[in-house]
Amino acid sequence: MTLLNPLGLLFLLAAPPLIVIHLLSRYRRRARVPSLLLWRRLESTPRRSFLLRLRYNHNLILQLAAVVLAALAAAQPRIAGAELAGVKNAIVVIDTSASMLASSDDRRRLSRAKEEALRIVRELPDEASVHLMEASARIDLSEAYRAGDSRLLDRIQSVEGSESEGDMSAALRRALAASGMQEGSRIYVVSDGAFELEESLTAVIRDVRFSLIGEELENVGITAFAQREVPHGPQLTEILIEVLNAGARRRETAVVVDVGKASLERTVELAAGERRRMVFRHEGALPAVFSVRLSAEDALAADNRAYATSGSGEPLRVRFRGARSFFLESFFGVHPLARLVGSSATPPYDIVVLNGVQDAQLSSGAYLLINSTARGVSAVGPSEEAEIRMSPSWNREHPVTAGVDLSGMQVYRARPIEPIPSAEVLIRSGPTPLAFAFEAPELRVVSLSFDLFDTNLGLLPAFPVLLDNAVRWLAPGAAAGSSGVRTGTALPLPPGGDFPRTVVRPSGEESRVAPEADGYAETDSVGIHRVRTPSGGERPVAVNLLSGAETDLSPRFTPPPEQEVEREPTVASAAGGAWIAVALLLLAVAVLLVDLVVWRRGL
Amino acid sequence: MRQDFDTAVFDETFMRKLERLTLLSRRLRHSYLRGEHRSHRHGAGLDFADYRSYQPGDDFRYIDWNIFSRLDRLFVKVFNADDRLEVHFLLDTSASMAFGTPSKLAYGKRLTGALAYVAVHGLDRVGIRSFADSLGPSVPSLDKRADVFRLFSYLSGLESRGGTDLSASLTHYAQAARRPGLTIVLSDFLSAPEPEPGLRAMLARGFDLLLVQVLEPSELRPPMRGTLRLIDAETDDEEEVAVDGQVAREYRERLDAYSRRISRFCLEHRMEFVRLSTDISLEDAVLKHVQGGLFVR
Repeated sequence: MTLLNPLGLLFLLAAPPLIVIHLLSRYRRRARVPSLLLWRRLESTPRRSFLLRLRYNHNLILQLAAVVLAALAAAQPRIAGAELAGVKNAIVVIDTSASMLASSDDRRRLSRAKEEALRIVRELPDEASVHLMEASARIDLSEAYRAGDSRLLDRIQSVEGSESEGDMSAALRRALAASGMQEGSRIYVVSDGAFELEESLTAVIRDVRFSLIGEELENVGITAFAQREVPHGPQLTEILIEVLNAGARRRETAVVVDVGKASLERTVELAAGERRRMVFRHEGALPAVFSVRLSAEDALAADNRAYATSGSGEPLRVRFRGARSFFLESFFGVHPLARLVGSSATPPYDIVVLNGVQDAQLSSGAYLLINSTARGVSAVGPSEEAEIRMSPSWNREHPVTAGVDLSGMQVYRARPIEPIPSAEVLIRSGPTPLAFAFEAPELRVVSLSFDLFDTNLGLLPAFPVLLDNAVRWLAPGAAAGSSGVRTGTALPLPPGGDFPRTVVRPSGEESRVAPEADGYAETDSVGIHRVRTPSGGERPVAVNLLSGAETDLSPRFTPPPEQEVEREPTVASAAGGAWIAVALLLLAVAVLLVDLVVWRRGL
Repeated sequence: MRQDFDTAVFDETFMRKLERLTLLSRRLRHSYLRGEHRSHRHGAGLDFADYRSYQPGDDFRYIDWNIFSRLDRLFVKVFNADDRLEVHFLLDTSASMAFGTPSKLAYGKRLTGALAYVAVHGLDRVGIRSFADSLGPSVPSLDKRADVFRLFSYLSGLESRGGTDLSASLTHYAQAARRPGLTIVLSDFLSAPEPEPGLRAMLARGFDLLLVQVLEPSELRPPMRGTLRLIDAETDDEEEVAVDGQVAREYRERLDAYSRRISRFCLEHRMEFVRLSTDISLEDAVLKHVQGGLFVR
């Protein structure tokens, strides 16, 4: 037998006061006897009266019995089903995505999910090995615990929700891989069912037990939030907002954009399932941080607000060394996130641009090498400078060259620069590398092996895109910029170095980030995260949910038909367990009634 | 007739068994030899026992003149007196006798009725008197078999009330009784003043005594446990007692010691003591516990 709610045993704390009350009570049972002749001055009476007062106090015994029964009832005992007896290994997946933070009747889905997970674990054989998986945008798989280990129960109790979009398919894939689906292995998923599984998984989840605790709830949420400056406009900004009514009823809500001290407000009425986009216009400079919120009171709060930054935080400090370059100076002169600093500016710099510098000595930091070489990173090869006439090929996966169209690019002359093997070639023409990226724990380098005057790249639309990608990759803290990141995804950070890297969460809690880490992963909360930059300032980064899948709280997942049959024993066990608690409670009441009768009769 | 004296228990079979019993009195059989005392009792029949020399004061009617003519000496004939036995019943009706199911008083009444029937059937003279803290009303001595229903009627009218002073009651009875005889005392003997002085007074008056202690099972083995405020049924005195197995055992030892003391006193003074529990059937009480003793054969 297991207890679903061990806290119910706290009722037992009523027992000691009860005993004290009975000890202090002056009430004694009275009994008429034919004669006191033989009862007087019995030798063994006095020293025993204290304990006897408890031992033969029928009312006390009955009341203690009632307390014990009530405590047991409150603890919700369950008898493990025979179905679970053969389970040796289990993975309990708790859905911790944003939809699990939805509340009904002042209870979050996550609270019910944890209770269900506790019930499952307590019904497992004590010796079974159990992993706990928390599945949101991030998937955390715990170490193995014994089912009877109190640390596992504590771990389940301490599970916290994430305001991020979940990926149950990824979680199940990982759980299936971890379990190996051997005999005696079992996967339990506790979720609200507000997800859709990949088609390919439906065939392999027949042995997965789903406990679906979700119900239909009304919810309106923000699913998109972006801003852009209107070209050629007099400091005019357009703010795009998309709102979704995922409930079954028509809803009206006010959409309020807070821009500094000013507010822009519009009331919209949304039909069931309707998605509405709207554009707000704002004249004047945007504050560093602005936000949008919905006035609607609904089940989920995480999607009723979103944040953005204007990109007007502290700009990247870009130090330029080597020959001057019209293209580079033009680019950094207009780039919204970067600012060139003079040679008199003191370090640290966010990015150092080397143009035509050979055999440079690089310390930690971010470097953009144009027609340059650096020790330990690249060297000039044995061949002569070559004219490249073949169309280059490029790495479409790397962040620096992703989304860049280099099909029209021509390089008239390139230096035969050989990157070190660990570098990743970004652009090559035949066997000749034209660009590469290198990443070490405290160093990031993007290198182009040609002069910008020896190529038509500077004249192509791809040029500013390529350099912008390079800047955002070299200084990822700044790249978060105005658009922000989604909850659950890593917040890019500038490369580590001598300066501390710290992220301040919306709650004010500060997190130190290891020097070797590329980003900050614990973005579970919607809000403004502040990234401490090398120069000591703070760069605000917006983190938003913006997920239609999470805004839609309705259970959409239906287990395969076989699952319904296999779930019955668990459901029956739970129902039977509830009867145990009810029966115990009734028994406690009956005992109290007997106590009353005993007291009335003075027995 | 009251519920606690139901004559239905005296069925035909039981009564036939009772009719085979006889009450005896050692003291009276030896002392009432006709001719030994100046005052004689006239019984229904005379059995010749012996001769002895004439002594002044002997009744001339018992001189054997035939022997005088042959031996010229005076001898008187000695006879066993076939006198009627005086049987006295003293029944405790104090409040303590109201306990038990059946109550000790009810049990005592039935036992008195059964033994009185034995006496009346044997043409003995029977008198019954209740007592509590003093002697109560009595039924006059009866000697006809038809009178047994008067005895039963008297018994059914008795109720338990008041305290107990067994010693004083016995002393008073010893002084008031016209003729000593066999006295059967039925009581729980749970009386604060010790009964021995009263018993001595009875002995001094020449009574034969059969003491029947009637107790109920809960007195023999008290079932209550825990801290109790015990109230004396007769005096309303209170005593707080914590009862567990050891205390209950100590109580039983006290009760046994108390009964043994009375029993030893009886043994030393040619009396008989019988302890009965009300859960023993009346037939067993009479035929197994009382019969076979000194006074019931």
